Amino acid sequence: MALSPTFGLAARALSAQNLVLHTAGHNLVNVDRPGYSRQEVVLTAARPLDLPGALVGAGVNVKHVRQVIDPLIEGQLLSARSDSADAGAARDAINRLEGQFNHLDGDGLQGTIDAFLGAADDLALHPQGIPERQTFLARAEDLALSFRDQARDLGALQREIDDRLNDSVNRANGLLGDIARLNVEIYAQEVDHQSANDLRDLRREALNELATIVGITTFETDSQVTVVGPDGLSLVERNRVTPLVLDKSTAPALAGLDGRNLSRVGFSPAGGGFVPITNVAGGEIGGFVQVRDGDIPAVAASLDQLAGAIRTSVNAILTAGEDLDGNAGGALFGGTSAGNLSVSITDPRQVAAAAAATGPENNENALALVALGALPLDGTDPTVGNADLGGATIIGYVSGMIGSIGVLGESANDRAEAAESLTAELENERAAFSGVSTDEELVTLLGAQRAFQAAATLVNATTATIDAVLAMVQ
Amino acid sequence: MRVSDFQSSTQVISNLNRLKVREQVLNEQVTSGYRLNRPSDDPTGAGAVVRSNSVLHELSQDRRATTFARGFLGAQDAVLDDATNILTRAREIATQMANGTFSAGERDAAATEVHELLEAIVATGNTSLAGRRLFSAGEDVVPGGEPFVDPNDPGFDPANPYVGSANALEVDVGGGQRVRVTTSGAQVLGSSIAALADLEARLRAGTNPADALPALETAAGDISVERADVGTRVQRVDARTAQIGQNEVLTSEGLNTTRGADLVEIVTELAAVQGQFQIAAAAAERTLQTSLVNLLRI
Repeated sequence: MALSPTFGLAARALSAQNLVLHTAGHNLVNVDRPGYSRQEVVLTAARPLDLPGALVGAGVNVKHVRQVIDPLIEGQLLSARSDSADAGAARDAINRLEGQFNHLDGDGLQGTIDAFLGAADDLALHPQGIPERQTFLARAEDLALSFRDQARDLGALQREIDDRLNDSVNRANGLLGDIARLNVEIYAQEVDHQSANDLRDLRREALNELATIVGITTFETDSQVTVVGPDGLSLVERNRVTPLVLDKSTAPALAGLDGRNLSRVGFSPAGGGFVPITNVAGGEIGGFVQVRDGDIPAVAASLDQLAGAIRTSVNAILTAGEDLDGNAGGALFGGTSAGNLSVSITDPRQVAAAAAATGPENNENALALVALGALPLDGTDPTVGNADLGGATIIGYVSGMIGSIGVLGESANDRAEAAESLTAELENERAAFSGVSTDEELVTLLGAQRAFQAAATLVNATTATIDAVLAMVQ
Repeated sequence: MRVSDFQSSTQVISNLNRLKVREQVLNEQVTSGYRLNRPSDDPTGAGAVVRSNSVLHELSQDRRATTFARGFLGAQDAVLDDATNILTRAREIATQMANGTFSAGERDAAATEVHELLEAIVATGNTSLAGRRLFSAGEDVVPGGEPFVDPNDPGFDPANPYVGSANALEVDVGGGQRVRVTTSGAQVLGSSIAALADLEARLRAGTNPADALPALETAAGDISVERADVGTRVQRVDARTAQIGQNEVLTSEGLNTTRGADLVEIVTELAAVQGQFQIAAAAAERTLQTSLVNLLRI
C-alpha cells in the first residue's frame, strides 16, 4: 500500500476539523443574536480506496454545513408573532381610548352631567335667580364642551392610528423588497445544493418582522419563499413584489370621525387603480384597522347617542315651559352629534324654569330637568322628546359606556398577554432547538481541536514512516 | 432537552421583567390608594364607581335642597308663631271690649291697636328670607311687589288682601321626594286679615266686638293647621336629611370597597415581589456565570 493516500486522508481530516472549528466559532460569536440559528458541520465518510485485496477507508469528507431549525416551530412562530403584534397594537390603541374615558374620580362626562343636573336643581330652588340661571347656562356649556372634546379626541386618536398606517405600510414594503432580493441571492447560492444558511437567517428575520406588521403565510419553492398576505394577496413571489398601497380617494371613501377620509389598505393591480383588502388581519396593521374602524366608531356612536338623548330630552322639557318673561321656552342645546353639541341660549332670562302659563316664580320645569337624571329613557316618553338610551338613565348609560370601554381594555390586555405568552413559549422552544449553547460549542471546539491535533499527528507519523523508508533506501 | 444561552438570558430578562411589571402595578396601587385605576382593571367595578360618584354628587345636591327647605319652613314656623300671638292679642281685645263699658275714646284706642295688629300681620305675610317671599311661592322681593296689600293703602280690600303668587314652591330633596316649602299667603293669613279688619271696623263703629270672635277663632285655626302642616314637612325634610347622611356613608363605603386598595395586603405583596426580584436576580447572576468557558483549558 502506498503512503501517499494517508497524506490525503490526513489533509481531508485537517480540513474538515478546521471547518468544524470555524463553524463552532461562528456559532459562538452569534450566541446572543436574536433569530440566529446554530449551524453544524455534517461529516461523511470519504469514498473508500479500492486497493488490491481490500476496500480501505479514505477518512472523512464535509457533506455540508446545515442550520438546525424546526420548520414547524418556525411556522408557528411566524403566526404567533403576527397575532402578538396585532393584539399588541390593538391593546396600545385601546389603552389610549381607555385613558380618554378614565374618569373614575367623578370628572369627565359624568362630572359635567352631574354638574348640569345640579345646576338645574339650584335653578329649581330659585327659579327667578339670575345667578342660578347663569350658572345653569355655564354648566350646559361645560357639558356641550365636554362632549365636543370627547368627540374631537376620538377623532384625533382615529387619525393618529390612520397616520401610523403610513409608517407600517412603508416598513412592510421595504421588507417585501428585502425578501425578494434575498430570494434571488439564496437561489443563486443554493443552485449547487449548498445551503445559504446566513442568508436564510436574514430572510427569516425579515419575514418575522413582516409578520409583526401584516398577517402573512409563506411557502418555499426552489429555495425561494412566496409570501401571501391578507385576502390571499401574493406579496412576494420569487423576485416579484406586490407592494401594499394606502388609498383615501377611491370610492367608496372611508370617512373618519374628523370628517376627513381614512386610508384603506390595498394594492395596485397590473392595470392600475386600487383594490382594497377587505379582511386586514394580523400584524400591527390588523390591530390598528380593528381599533380605527371598529372600536373607536362604536364608542363614538355611543357618545353620539348619549349627546342626542340629552339634547332631545332637555330641549323637550324646556320648550314645554316658559321663561322668566313669560315667553315660550326655547331649545337649550343645538347640534346634531356629540362633536357639534352647542348651547343655543345666551340670555339667562330665556331659560324656561317655569311650567307654561304659571309665572316666573314657578319651578316645575326646572324640577322636570332634575327628575330627568333618574328617568329611564326608552324612547317612548314624549315629555322628554322620546329620547332613547335603551331604557337606561343618563348616568346609567355613562356608567355602561365606561364599563364597556373597560371590557374592551381588559379583553385587549388579555388577548395581548395570551398572544405574547404563546410567542414567548414558541421563542423559548425555538431557542432551545436552534439557539447556541456555549457549553455545547466549547465541547465541539475541544473535540475538533483534538481531532485536528490527531490528524496533524497522523501527518507527522506518516512523514516519520517515509523518513524510515528513505533511511532504508539510503 | 437542550438549553441555549440565548434562551437562558431571555428567560431571565422575561421573568425579571414580569416581576418588575407586577411591582409597578402594586406601587401604583399603594401610591394612589386605589386598586382600580382604569376601567380595564375591573370593568364592572368601574361602572359601579361612576354610578357611586354620581350618587354622591346627587346626595350633595339633595343636602343643599334639604338645607334650603329646612330654612324656609323654619322661617315660616317662626312667622306663623308671630301671627298666632297677634291673633291671641286680638281675641283678648275683642273679649275685653265686649265685656265692659268703654268710652268712645277707649274703643278708638282699641281700634287703633287692632289696626296696628292688622299692619303687623300683613307685614308678617310679606316676610322674606334671603330676598324671597315666604308666602308667595318664594318669589323674589321686588319693591312695590308685596304679596299682601298694605292696610293703609286706599285699595286695601280685607276680603282679598292677597295679590301674590298662586303657585307653591316645591323642592326636590331626592329619593323621589318633593317637599312643598310654601303655601299661598291667602290660604294661611287671608282669614286672619279679614277677621282683624272686621274687629277694627266693629270697634270703630261701636258694634259688638264679640261678634268678631268666631272669625278670629277660625283664623287662629287656619294658622294652627298650617303650622302643623309645616311641622310635618319639617319632619319629612329632617328624615330625608338623616337618610342622605346614611346614604352618603353607605355609598362612600361601597365606593371605597369597590375602588379602594387594601394597603396592608398590597404592601405585603410588594415586599414579597421585591424580595422575589432580588432572589431571582441573584440566582440569574449565578446561573449565567456558570459556563464551561471558565473550566475548559483549550
